[in-house]
Amino acid sequence: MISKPNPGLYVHVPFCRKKCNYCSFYSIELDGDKTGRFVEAVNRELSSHNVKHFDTLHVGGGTPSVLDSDKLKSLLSCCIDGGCREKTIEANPESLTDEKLKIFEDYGINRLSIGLQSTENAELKFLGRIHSYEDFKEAFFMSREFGFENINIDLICGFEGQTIEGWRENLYKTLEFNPEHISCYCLGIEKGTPYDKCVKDGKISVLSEDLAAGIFLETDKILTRAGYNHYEISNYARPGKESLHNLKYWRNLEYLGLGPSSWSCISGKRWWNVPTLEKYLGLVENDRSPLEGSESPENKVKFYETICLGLRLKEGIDPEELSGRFGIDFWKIYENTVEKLIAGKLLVKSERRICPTLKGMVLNNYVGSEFVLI
Amino acid sequence: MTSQNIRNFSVIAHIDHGKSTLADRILELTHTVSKRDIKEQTLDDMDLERERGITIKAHPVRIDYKALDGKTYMLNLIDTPGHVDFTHEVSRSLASCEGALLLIDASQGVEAQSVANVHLASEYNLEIIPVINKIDLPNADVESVKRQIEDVLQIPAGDAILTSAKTGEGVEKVLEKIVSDIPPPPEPKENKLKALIFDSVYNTYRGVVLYVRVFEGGIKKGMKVLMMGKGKELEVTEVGIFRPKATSVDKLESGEVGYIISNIKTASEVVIGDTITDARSPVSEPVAGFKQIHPMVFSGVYPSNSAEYEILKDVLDKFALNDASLSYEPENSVALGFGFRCGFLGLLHMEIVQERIEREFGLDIVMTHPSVVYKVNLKGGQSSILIDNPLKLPEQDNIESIEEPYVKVYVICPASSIGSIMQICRDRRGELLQTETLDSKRVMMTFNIPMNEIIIDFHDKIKSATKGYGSMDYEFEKYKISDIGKLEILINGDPVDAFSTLVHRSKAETKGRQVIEKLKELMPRHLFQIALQATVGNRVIARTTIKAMRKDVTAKCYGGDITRKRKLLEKQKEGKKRMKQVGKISIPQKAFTAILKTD
Repeated sequence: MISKPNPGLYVHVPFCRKKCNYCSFYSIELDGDKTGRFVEAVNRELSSHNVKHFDTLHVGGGTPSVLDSDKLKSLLSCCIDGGCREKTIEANPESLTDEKLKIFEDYGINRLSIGLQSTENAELKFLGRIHSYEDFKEAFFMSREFGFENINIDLICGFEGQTIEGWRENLYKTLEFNPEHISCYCLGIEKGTPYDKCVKDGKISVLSEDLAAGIFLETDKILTRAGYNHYEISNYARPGKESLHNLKYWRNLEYLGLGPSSWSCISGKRWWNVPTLEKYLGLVENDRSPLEGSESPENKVKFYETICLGLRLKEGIDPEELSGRFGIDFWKIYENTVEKLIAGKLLVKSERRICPTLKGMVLNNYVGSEFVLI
Repeated sequence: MTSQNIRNFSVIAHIDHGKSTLADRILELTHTVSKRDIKEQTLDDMDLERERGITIKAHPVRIDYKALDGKTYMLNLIDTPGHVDFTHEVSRSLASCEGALLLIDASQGVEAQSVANVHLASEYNLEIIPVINKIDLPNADVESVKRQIEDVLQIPAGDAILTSAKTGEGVEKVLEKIVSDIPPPPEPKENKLKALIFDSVYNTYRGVVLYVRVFEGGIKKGMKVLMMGKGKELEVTEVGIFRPKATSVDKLESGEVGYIISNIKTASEVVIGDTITDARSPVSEPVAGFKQIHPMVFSGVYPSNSAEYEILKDVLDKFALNDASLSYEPENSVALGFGFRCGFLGLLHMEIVQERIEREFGLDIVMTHPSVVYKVNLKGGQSSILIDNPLKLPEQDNIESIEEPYVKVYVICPASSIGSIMQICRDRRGELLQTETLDSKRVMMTFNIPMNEIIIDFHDKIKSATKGYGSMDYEFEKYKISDIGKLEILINGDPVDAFSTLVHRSKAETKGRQVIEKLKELMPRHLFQIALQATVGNRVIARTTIKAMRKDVTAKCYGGDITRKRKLLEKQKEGKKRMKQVGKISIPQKAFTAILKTD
């Protein structure tokens, strides 16, 4: 029997220099006083858990790179585990300095995720980003000089005014950097963001479904042709450079989240922390758990949840493996569903696995909901 | 008690003019019910009645009243519904009375329903006593209301009684007037039992309870009686009266009102309006003048969840126990599966049945576009058929002509709304017959309108055009030849039966376009493109397409998104499950009802 891999570790750093218009992740403007307390609290929260060894580390946010050197050092020193196969930190071009790259290197960070979002300065402005394309260029090359050989570039597509041509230009310019990994997120309108308000006020319109679909397909075409593996709906990687940490989410495996608003999933239980830094500090500093809520979905729910998540991945799902993992006969329940979705060209069988087609990926919600058991 | 001391009466009034409150005061003043026991509006039982302020079931109550002349009188109050849909109930209540109180709100004046009901009472030659209620309201205008009663209803109102049912003022005068003006029941011609069944209710323990008015002879426990219309014999197991609770008595005499219980299991075994007589010594003629009422509006009623067909059947069976006016027979639809074709007395009746099925029985139902009853004259002969379902329309080649029912609609509204009311009626092929001025601010307009045009949202339109001040009522007028065609909605080339309606050809194109536009808005995108077409005969009058679904995906799905995403997919699946499948196409249930209100 294969031994269970260690969980992934996620640390949510809730600081940004400036909040972006579209972002719904929890973050606040950088506050020097609070960063120290935050790092200390993460350290405490981690030591309160029994899990000590991790397979992957992902420091995200927020913008982890805005922490000053001392805070970064103490944060990384507490959460770096020697056994980690993949250690990623998210960074924004404007805060990715020489000094910080050096710290990353020293602490064994082996993967960088840099938020470029767009190669066009006008679009960056529209999105509320504070860096320019030139800033990114500089930060990227500097990272390469430091020897980072696994870099992800984040891009955003599907916002108002975007055309297929404009998006292609973004992709071609991104490819010039030859990154190991590219994430292309189609802009979603998240509740409570300034972007959401603009849409509601009618100041900006939402991209048509047809154009958004066109952009998705075009992305697949260009990046696949350039040798990337379209391994998840929004993620492309050079073969072998797929994000090990993120795969844990999509394979519904275990992970521990630290920091405000972070989520954890261990031993079939899922829990989430309080949403704000203030509440988080208030609890942890008083030796109380920052947990806000938890759920332990019943086996059947976890079963279809795992299927829905797995179908985000090009590798798809392995029915036999799932039947074994959950003790539920996959084929007995889903034979007709799978047949129907294959006939609709949304799924394909590939040896023992069932995988989404490109159409199945862009219609992932439709496909996933077919597997929901209610 | 001699029948000379009996007074049988009803109260006719527009909704909210205070009928139930007046009844409460009468019960209180005569000590029929102690003040402590009066819930507001004692006579209205069902929640829905209280909420809508309408009385659906007529409840007869016996009241003993010691009048100023020192004699004690037996008053039987037979409550009536206030809406014309329930004309048959009003009508049978009136058939068991000798008089009626016409109750008018002093601040509102005569309303449309009062007009329709006074017409009915006159048909039964009842003594009508005008009562002007709510005189305590600051905007009461008694003189104007008196004028309206005289001008519009042609009833002398000089000595109308002024009351405030709320405070009790004038209520005793009403009782005295009942005693002095309403005639006692006529002397029986012979001593054989002759009683009218004017209503029935279903009781879980007792079976069907019949409300009766005895015209001649008497009825008592153990008697074998014959229902003359049905030709069925019954043994009476209990005889009683309402005070207002059911109280058994030895005998009901000529002129009295009460109930009888026999071994009747379902309401369908009884015809309301039937005459009961002594099985051993029957009368030769039944009680005269009571017409059986036929449903006027038909609609397909289907369970939202097809698996609940049997439950729906049970619910309708239960419903029919109490409501003999509801007709239903099984039908099936490709789109909606198995259901029932239900016949209703009118719009309000339909809405009430729908609401009660959903509320009291917790059953979700889908109702198809309501239809009136058309008369189709067939070619090559004199034969004609009645059609209550568009799907039953014969082939065009066999049709000589189609007739549709027309109604006479009374609208009472502020003079300032005349223009908009005219427009509403004109849009619905209505013809203005006359306009009468009621007072300085209000008019009564009378229209002739095809019934089909008022069955959907006419009442709502009138209400909104008059900012809630307008009232309407209608009565059947006659059938007229009309240019009617079948509007069909085709989805990817196949007609969806549940969307078919019969329409006047002048309206077909607009209606067809409205329906497909509404469908386009409500139908989810599918994996393939969908063509929507509206046709009349074989002619396409409107078309549109719903593009194929191109993208349906959540871009990001990390730790915290997983639960949210699962819930989203669960919701999506729930939605899919609730849709009706027509071939490969899913149609949301709300599409079936939303197309009813297309403008």
